Amino acid sequence: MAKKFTQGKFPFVGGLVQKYAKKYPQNQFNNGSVYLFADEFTNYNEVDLGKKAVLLLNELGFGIKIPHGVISGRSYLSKGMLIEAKK
Amino acid sequence: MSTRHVLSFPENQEVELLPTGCCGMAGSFGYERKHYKISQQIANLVLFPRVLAAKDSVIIASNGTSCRHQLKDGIERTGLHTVEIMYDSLAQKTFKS
Repeated sequence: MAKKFTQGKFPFVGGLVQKYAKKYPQNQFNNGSVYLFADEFTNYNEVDLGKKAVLLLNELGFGIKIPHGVISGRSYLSKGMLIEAKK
Repeated sequence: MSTRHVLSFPENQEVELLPTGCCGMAGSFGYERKHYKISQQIANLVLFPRVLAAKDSVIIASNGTSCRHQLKDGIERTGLHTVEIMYDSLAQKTFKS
């Protein structure tokens, strides 16, 4: 187990919301598309919540698009680093 | 459209907004050892007593990740994100028969 971490790779806990959304075609919903900002916290800490967001929006007739590589800046915000967070 | 407004959409679901102020976590602040005591003091002002006084059947809505952690760790109550509450409500409606 220790060896895995020292190699610089972190094991995935769960999966990315993006991967989950790809299982269902997102371009065939009546109400069009919405952008879902699944950030690093959603993807790595609370992926089930992200998945529920996809399911909920799909049920309501919206396809979802997840912008790639979104970093939310939440970590910066929580430390008061507002300028960095804005970037 | 506020969270409170959205949460009132499901039939027979009433929303009460608790005047709790900060839960004591302030993002990552409350996870740090040196801030533990003050984060608990803040939570005990309004949040913990009010939530403890609520029946188990009452859903505690909390959009903040760390806020939900505070509830779970502090008083063993589960807070749910608006997305979860809405999804569960929709699922019940869809599959109810």
